[in-house]
Amino acid sequence: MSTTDEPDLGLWKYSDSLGSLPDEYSDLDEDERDRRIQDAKDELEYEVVILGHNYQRETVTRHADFLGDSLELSRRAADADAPYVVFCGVTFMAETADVVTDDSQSVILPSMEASCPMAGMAEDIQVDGAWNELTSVVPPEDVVPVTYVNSYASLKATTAENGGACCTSSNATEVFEWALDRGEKILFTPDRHLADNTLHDLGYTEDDYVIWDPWKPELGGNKEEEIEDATFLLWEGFCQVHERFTVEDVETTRERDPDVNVIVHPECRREVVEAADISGSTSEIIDEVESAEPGSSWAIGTEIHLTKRLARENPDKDVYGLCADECSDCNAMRQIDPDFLLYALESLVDGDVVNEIEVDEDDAEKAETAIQRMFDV
Amino acid sequence: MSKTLEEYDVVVVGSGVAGCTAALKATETAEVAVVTKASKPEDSTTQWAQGGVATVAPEEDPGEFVEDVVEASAGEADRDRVELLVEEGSTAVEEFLVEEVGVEFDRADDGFHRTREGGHSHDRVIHRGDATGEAVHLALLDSLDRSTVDVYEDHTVIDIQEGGGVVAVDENEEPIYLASAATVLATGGIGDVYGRSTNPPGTTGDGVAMAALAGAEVKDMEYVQFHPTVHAERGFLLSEALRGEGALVVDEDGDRFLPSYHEDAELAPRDVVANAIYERSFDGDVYLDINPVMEGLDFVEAFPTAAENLTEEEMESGLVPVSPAEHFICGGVKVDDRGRTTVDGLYAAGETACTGVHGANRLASTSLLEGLVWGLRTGETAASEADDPRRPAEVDAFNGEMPEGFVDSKFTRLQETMWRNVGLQRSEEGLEKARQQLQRLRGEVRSYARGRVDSGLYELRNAVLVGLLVTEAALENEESRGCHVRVEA
Repeated sequence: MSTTDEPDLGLWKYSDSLGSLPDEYSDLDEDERDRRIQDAKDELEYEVVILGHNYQRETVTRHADFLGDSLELSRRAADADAPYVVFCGVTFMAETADVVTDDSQSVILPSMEASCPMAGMAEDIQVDGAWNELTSVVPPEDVVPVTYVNSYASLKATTAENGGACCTSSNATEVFEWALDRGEKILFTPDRHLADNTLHDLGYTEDDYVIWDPWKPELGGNKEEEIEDATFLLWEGFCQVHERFTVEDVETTRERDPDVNVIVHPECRREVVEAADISGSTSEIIDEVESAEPGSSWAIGTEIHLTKRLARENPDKDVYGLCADECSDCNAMRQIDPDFLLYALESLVDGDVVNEIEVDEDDAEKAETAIQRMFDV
Repeated sequence: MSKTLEEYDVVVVGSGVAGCTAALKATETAEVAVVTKASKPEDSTTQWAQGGVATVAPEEDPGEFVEDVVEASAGEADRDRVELLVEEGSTAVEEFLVEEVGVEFDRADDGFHRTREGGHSHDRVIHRGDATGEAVHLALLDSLDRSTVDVYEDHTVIDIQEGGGVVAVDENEEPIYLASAATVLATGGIGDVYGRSTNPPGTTGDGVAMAALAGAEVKDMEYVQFHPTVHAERGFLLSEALRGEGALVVDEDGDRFLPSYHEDAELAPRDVVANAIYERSFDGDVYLDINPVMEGLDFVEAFPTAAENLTEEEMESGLVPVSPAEHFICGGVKVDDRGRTTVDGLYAAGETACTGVHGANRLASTSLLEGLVWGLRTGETAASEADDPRRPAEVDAFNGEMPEGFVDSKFTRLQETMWRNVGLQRSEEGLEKARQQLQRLRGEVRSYARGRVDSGLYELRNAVLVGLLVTEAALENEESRGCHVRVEA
């Protein structure tokens, strides 16, 4: 398997862009497309900043002004003076960028169908319902909600309203400690694995948490006394890409390559994180690999496009994915393809803002509070 | 992964009037399979058709029937296609349904007993009591049983492939593969896209969605018919005759609100009543108060079907929750006069197809007729154009985890969005909002569908896509016409 080629991972042959991309943008020749993207960027000059998430494919990231994780990129957007921010990532990221940028800036998501299913596992109406149910059993002041930044803005807003904060995969430990200073329990949404890994880092065990399954009829499938006894209530949500890595993947990789360093993202299951050598956020993974000894070998447990990029950028090391390419390909990230990017940019040249992400004003204000509390921790 | 590979000339997806008819016609010259989600007759919308089949009345010129269809369509129907429907309708009924299939319609001295329905200028509707759909459907299923057609019941088609070949999952969610040269989509309507519908559960617009995914053109998707008064929870029709006999429409507090909409109140035109109840439905439940009817006459005797369908509690309180409900989509997969879609080897018939006969609104008792006429034409054409069966590519599923309640909760989200924003009244603002929500939903759903084989998930994928197609068509068409009503926000 080549590590530098862009993987062709489509399991289904049909066009993904049905209905949302004008016909003239499909089937463009790669050179022509790249040239036109560059022309549009040149024309727009300082009017536009293009942000590329670490999980985007290379044919997109080659056009990005900045690469990074969702929060880094949102900060870039806020710092930029450009009136147009084209965010090559998924919906909730573009929402966060809209929240932190000022009103004169428009955030554009090249494809409106780039939506993270994990964010969709905790919709605000579900969490509101759960909160009401939960606080009928325990006093509301005892529970501090913590929401992973990988969530819709409306959920971040609800979290702020109920006295909680956001966290990322690199500061979850600190935010958990902050929350436990303020209340007896944490309701964590939407990623149960990140929460599980974080609370283990803090010295807690599975005896200290229950899973809140929003699709079960009462108390997320728990008894009242279980809720009372638990310190952590973990929402039943997960990243379908990271969830696919298994302990078996770690074991077979080590058998094949005994000196390998296995590094995984904390959205992986608990047992996979335990089996791995290191776990860390995307920035931490990038730092580890970049600062590693030449000749060292790295199996990466995160989205395949970041792995491919690390392999390209670290030719002196052996960098590869912890499981097969197609099992670690994020379909939501994949919705952004260079055709959509070109469409968004050329529309801007024509004075049309297409696919703008606008968070409701009230939600935006509250979501910003939840994000600010995280920075203040 | 278990694999079954059978080869057919023609695979028909769906077992309502159009699917059965197409299969029975095609099997005269070809090897045919029917693949259907249905496990019993009640799973098909055809079974529930109450009206009948309209054909040219003995005393009239066929042109008069054509005019009525075109007028009902708000002038949007394709006249050539309507002429074809009217010309071939009588023969299709007499030679196929009656002689071959053995449907026994009610008779009068000099031929069929015919009734008149709204929009018809003559007594045209032939029927079997008030359960014509059931009579037609059971006879068709019986003919199918006796034919050489292989029927795969309780099988959900999840993928159709260019030039032939379908992938289905069986009742145990195991994939099966059928090679085919021609594929006919006859999966019925889109009731589950709205939730409130007169269609039986499971009508998720599969044929329209799969055809669109395969690159076929769809047409007239904004023209969705709604029935004004349906039981809000159980979907059966509550006849307008109930209001004629004194039933009142009331809100949660028991107060009437129709008088403020129209001077005729409960007896106002059906679209006035439907829109009033639709608007009120966002503030709380709406009820049909049948107490005045029960005071005046023997309810059970006068309305036996309603009486049978109501619960004891509803009969006692006299309060029946009502709502308008999605009834029929006039648009669908664009087909020609022979049922060909714009993709080679792919055909569509019945409610799934857009033949052009309904335009912006459908005339009563023409849906079974259309399924029949185009079912015959499509079956014949698919069989004659079928060349070498093609094997479908295998589905490569790694079946990652998915929360158990995911599909149900996302269906609810889809239905709320469609009902509120793409229902009886559509504003630009609401449609834009719906489009954004549906695009987001589509992205979430597709992430799972890419790696899983699961019939419910594929139905959701299809329903979301159909919702999006309806929304986009409704946005594009800024003019109110027929059953598409644009309003200011």
